[in-house]
Amino acid sequence: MSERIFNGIGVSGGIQIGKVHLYKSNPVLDTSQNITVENRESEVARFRSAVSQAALEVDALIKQASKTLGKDKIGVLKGQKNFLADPAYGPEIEEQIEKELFSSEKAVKLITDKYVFTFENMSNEYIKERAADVRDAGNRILNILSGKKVGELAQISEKVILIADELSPSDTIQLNKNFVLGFITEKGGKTSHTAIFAKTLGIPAVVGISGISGAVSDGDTVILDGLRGICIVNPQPKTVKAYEKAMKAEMDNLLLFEKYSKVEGITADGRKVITAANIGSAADVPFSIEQGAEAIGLFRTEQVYLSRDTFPNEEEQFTEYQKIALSYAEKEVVVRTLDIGGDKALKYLNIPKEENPFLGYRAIRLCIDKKELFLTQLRAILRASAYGNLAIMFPMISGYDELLAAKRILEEAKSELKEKKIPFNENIKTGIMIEIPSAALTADFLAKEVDFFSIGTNDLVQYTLAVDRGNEKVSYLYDYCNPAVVILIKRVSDAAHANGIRVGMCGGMAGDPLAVPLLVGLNIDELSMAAGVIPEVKYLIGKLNSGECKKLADAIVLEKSTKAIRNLLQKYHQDLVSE
Amino acid sequence: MLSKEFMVNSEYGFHLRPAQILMESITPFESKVILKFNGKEANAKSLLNLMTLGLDNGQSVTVVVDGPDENEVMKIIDKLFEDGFDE
Repeated sequence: MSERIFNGIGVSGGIQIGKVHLYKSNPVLDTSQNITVENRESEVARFRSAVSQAALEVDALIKQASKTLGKDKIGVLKGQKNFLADPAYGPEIEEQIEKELFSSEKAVKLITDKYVFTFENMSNEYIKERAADVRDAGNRILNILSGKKVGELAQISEKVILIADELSPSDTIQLNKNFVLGFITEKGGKTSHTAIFAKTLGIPAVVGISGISGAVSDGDTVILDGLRGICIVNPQPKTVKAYEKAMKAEMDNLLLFEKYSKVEGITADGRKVITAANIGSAADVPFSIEQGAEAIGLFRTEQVYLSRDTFPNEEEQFTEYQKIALSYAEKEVVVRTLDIGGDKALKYLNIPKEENPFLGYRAIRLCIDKKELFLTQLRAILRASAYGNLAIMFPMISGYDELLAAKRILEEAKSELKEKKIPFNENIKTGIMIEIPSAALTADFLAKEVDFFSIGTNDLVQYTLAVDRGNEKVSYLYDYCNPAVVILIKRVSDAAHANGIRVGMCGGMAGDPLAVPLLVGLNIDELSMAAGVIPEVKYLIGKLNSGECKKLADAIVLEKSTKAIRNLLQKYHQDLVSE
Repeated sequence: MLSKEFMVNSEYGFHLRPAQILMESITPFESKVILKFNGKEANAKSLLNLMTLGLDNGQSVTVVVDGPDENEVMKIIDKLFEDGFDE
């Protein structure tokens, strides 16, 4: 077995050495295929085998459920088992395969849909509900036919390094960092959700290694270097030794940074920089507190809306927001209103297919249009504000008129609660994300209407440079060191301070050690990042002199080359840490 | 062949649980069991058939049993309807 080295994009630092666990994500299911007469028998056999396996799976679930769930849940599982064995199900599907020459997938979908339709049109409520069980039975068979292993990720119970084609949001939430030491995917870019997730979890990850799944087998040993984006398969003993050494050095660094989690973010000459965390759900709370987050600069509320079949109502949302408010007590939590559309589509919200989802119907635009949806979320956030220190932030604001429209709806939500005498923080701070160039350019007008800004560099860079951060062909252009971006950040910061409001940053740039001196020099008041990097950033801030940082920023603002700016930052960082 | 009319006497109509109980009770036997209601026919050994019959509380259904053990089967069905399927 020879040692092979692969290069990709390192998105979350750390070194791990472990065994490969290969995850095959869903192949696209083709339910339109037909088979040939010769394949009839084997296709029927294939279908029957899938049904037997489905029955076994359900049996296993019933066994598990009888220990933990209630009697009624088991009844439903038994119902599914009975559907699978029903004389009006399997045989009808087989008939389609034999007579119509449909593939198993096509036949299963046809017959399942037929029964689902019939059930959904029954007047008996209870039977109508069982349509879901029929659909489940059908999906179970389809999954088996496609070779997909469902729920596999949650069941990983030994220490592995995960390798996959890609990991969707519903895949990543299953990962347990006690077992998944790190991961490697073929797709994804520097700021893809996979990258953000790895950093939040604090495990190393490398993305963009095309073909890696085909180049490894389960159980192979692999070294993962998340900082440098390197993956070494079947390393030689001396390579392993070298990396073990590097791992130890990294551990030592971590211990060094760790003590900084307990201090506040403040420069050597006493200039305060709020060092905050970005979180996505209640699950992120413990780690963020452990890492020393002084505040939450961004609470992404999308998780409350994802992985559901129906809208989360006001009560459900309020419960989530209240939990967060209570967890952080007096620390400020900036709650960003729904930022959905494009890549994070919701099942129950029919956003028609768009040519350009990132320039389309999403975030605040969708919320202002779907006023009831927006009011529900705002009421829930306001109610939760009585339990902690919450602030509200609108995403994707493109201009003054839009901001005013959003604020009017917020006032409406406040009035509704006041009328019902439901308590909330009437002085709740309201701010906006600056992530669209038009907002950055008119920041001076906007600063007069809000209590704070938070610069979302991930999207700001994208829109300013007209580059899709997930597109491997052009992602080399995506760089916050581009002079245009630096100039815009400075403009936003100056506008904020001229109007006496706070300016924070919650994009990836805020947690990048290289950028910290520049941001301090540009007078950014708050840096909000994935919890994993907070100690290191505090450590760096503690070494900085704000006067020197200002000189650095002044020099950078005069630079015309992205490369030159990056070099300046790299040198500054090197000098800083070698002191 | 035996044929008898029954009235449905379970709180939520002839839904999953009664259908399951009926199906599980008569499946081990050889006889064919057909339920006739509202012009529709359902094979009692098929849960899908039974559930899509649309049989509700207070409605009557004709049960036809045909086979070597039909007497035994009809007795069982009798008891099930009498007990309201245990609900």
